[in-house]
Amino acid sequence: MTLNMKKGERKYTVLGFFNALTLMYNGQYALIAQKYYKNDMDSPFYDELALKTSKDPEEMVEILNKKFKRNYPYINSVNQLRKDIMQSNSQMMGLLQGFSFMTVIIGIFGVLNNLLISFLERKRQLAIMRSIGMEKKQNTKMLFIESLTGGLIGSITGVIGGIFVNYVIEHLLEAMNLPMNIHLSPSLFVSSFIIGTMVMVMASISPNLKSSKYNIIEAIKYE
Amino acid sequence: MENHIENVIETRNLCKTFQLGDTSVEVLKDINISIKKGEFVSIMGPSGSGKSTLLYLIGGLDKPTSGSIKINGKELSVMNDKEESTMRRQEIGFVFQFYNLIPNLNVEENIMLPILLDGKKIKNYKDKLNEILEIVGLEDRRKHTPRELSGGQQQRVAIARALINEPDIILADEPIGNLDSKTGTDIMILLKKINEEKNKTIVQVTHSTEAAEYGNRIIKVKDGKVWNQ
Ligand SMILES: Nc1ncnc2c1ncn2[C@@H]1O[C@H](COP(=O)(O)OP(=O)(O)OP(=O)(O)O)[C@@H](O)[C@H]1O
Ligand SMILES: [Mg+2]
Repeated sequence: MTLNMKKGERKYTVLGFFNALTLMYNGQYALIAQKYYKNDMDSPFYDELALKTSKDPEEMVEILNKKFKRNYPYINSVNQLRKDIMQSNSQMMGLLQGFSFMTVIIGIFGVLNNLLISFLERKRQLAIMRSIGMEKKQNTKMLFIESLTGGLIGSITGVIGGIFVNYVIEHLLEAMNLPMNIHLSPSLFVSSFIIGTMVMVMASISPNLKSSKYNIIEAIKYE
Repeated sequence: MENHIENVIETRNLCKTFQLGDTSVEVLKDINISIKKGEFVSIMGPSGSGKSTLLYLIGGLDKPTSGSIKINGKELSVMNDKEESTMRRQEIGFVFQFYNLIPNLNVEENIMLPILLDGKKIKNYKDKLNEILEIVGLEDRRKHTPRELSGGQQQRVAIARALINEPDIILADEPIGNLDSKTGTDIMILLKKINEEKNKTIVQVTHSTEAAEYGNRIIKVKDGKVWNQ
């Protein structure tokens, strides 16, 4: 393989591949011997060094830390590195999950509020229907079916939208040189679908209770 | 003993008191009225005398404080919501001063609402709908929504809605209260026609002596009491 180095084109031989684990530089890096780096890059310095050891890596880290104590080195084993990254990732994920949770809570209040307002607006209509013979049971059934279909439509749109957005994000990340496989479990979709529908139906309970109590005449008396 | 079955509407010692905080307003005091099948009765009286309240009680839209109401011989106070609603769908047609149509339904749909609520098939009522549209003169307004209609036309829709299920009784609260005199006369002629040709019992509340003259009896209400029958 020919690489374009500071000193011109140099031929390198690919010795093998290693599982970079996307730990550093998003997994987009290659390792070359320090001798060639100095030569071909015309630079006596480098700031990172990968060591392969036959000893226990953790032990090695300790030994090196002791030895170069004065230089304040940053020495890490692959395992430790992996752990660190996992931790910061899970922190990030926790934060994101917190955000989604808040969004859902705010959404629930939005739905509740919406249903209540639309009920107030429709109180007169419901009263008119009651005055021409709609039973309380029919009233309840109507509001229930309404919220159920609303919930179903909303949940389906939400899930489809979610799948689409994830697909877009995956490609965006790839375009940003951050290739990442976003894995979404089907159970997540199923549960969001069920929760979405349930939220809508539960939110309709309060207007439903209210509608069984209102006074027909007061609701229809005035224009 | 008088023949009670003949009375389609009968109230005995009907009282209605509204509780407003600490004060109670006695709106209806011992109302006794009997209305026979096929009568066209006008309830008259000053504003606030309790005419609307009386009509709503008869239609089961509100509950009396005491006393009894019988519609077609059946006591209202012992009915549950289902029985009461069924009565409102099948035996009573209501016409309100402010029409009370559903704004986002068109003329046909508004008229068919009682049929729908009654769990019947709309397609079996197409002929009936056409007949009623002809009676109220709205054949060319079928697909219009209420806001595309004049007040008089909306009131015709309300009357058509009250007629579709062939109820025996039509209760109308100031049916022409919001209409000009020409349109009002048209509506009164329509009601009279329904009364005579379909033998419907009509009870209307009105402030107009002219409108009352279309009926064959006047009940005067004042201070919550009936002054004549
Ligand atoms: N929901 C209510 N709460 C308290 N008082 C009420 C209520 N409804 C009616 N009233 C009172 O009952 C009385 C009779 O009212 P109603 O509407 O029956 O009068 P009306 O004879 O129809 O008058 P109008 O000719 O102006 O329509 C009024 O004094 C009114 O203030
Ligand atoms: Mg009134």
